[in-house]
Amino acid sequence: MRIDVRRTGGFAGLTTQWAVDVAQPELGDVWMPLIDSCPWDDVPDDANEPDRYVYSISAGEREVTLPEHHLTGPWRALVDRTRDAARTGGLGEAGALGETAGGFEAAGSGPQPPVGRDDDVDDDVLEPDRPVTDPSRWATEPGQRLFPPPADGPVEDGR
Amino acid sequence: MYCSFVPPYLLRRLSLLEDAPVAEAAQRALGRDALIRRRRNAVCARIGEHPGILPPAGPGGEGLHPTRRISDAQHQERLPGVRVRTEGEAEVQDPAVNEAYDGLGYTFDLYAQAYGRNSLDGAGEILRATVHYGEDYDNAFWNGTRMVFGDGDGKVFQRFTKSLSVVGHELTHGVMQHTANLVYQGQPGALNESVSDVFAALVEQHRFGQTAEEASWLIGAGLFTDQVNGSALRSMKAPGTAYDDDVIGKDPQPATMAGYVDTRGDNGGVHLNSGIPNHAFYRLAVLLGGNAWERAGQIWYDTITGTRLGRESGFAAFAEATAAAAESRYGKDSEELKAVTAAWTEVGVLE
Repeated sequence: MRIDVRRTGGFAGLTTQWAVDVAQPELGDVWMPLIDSCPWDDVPDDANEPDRYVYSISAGEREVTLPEHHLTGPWRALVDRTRDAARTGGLGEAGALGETAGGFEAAGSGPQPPVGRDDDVDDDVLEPDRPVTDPSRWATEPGQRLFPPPADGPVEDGR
Repeated sequence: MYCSFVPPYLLRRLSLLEDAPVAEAAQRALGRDALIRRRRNAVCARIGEHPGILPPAGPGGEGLHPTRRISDAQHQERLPGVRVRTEGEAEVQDPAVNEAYDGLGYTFDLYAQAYGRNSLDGAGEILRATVHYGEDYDNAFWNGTRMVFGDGDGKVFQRFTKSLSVVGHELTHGVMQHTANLVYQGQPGALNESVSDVFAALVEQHRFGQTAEEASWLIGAGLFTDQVNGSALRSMKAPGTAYDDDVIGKDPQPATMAGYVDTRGDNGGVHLNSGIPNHAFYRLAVLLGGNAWERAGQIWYDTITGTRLGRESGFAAFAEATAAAAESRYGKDSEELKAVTAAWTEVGVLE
């Protein structure tokens, strides 16, 4: 199962994404209890606080968008686990798809749903315009390779 | 629903007192938004009855002084943290505390001296800030009552108090909350962001005595570490050129409507499309020349404190409101009105 966390907004307006692909038995043993404990169908519908982050989280078919101040409890645990797994190259059998920074969903990149919808995150807009993973600064220790690369192309492995 | 030992009728009286801290606490207990809205509507109604009479422009603020309180979150994500410096206390060892304290003061000074505004709410609200929020936290934000600064991760970002424009930006979200209160989503959200950038730039220019021609018009200069290829987070003079780096990518801000970004991230691209009204303000400022906080800033200030904006106003409505504000203050044949119209036309918001 692919688990994605996409963080947008913040004062700087930068986008960062962490993604992992988790297989059995780790998926069932470690990840599914956490994923199932998140209230996917009970998402608060209130405005974000100025300059705070927005988190778009998906696990398989389930997707949600949360303002940062609601990233608590199991949501926080899921995001932290995904980020750590993506950065370290895998927890157990979790395949780290790495961390990417920069970019956004460009204007005119296909049909756009109404602004503000919480659902229906398209896979094709998750990849930033300039996917970059710099092992020395963001994702992994120097010399480490991200494994496996995403299905739609190799991950850059450094400068 | 709130719980209080003080009955509502007493809170209502306390909230009207001259004593700002008491009044403020009472307002909060009563439900801040409702009270703020009533007070603002009253002011707007008075202005509406006398459309030719506007609050005076130019130097003011005599006798107005900030009340600042700086707290330290000690790297936790809990607010407010431990109080470390209050108004009138001497500098401390921690530069983040002193930068926040000084930045709050310079921001207060712009609003007081240029527009005669007494703090965020116009009634002397305490300026609250928390530094050292979280671990490696790459952000600063306004949570409705205080500004909160992270220390950065040390790889991409340094501490967020390092740039005076960040302080001015966050405090202006506080002013916005008490004035036009634009919804933080889509176009009104981008305008909310842009107004924060506009007054952030003006705080710096006012502090350093820079004219529109001399100013950098950069937002967040000095926040990046030297590992990042970039001068700042945003450029009002040339949106889209603030940084271009292998790791964080290129500054994605558009300068005109031709580059308007449709996205569901970032509350509908509020930090992206703010480049368009940002650039309109820059163009107005250089068309008028001189100190941007005087005429250009006054027009923007009149716009957010006036009656013409709704909470969901978009770019076109905001542009029309600035033109109306320029006409009210400077006249229908004024160079100010012509410059406002020209600036919005250049960025493609007005035709």
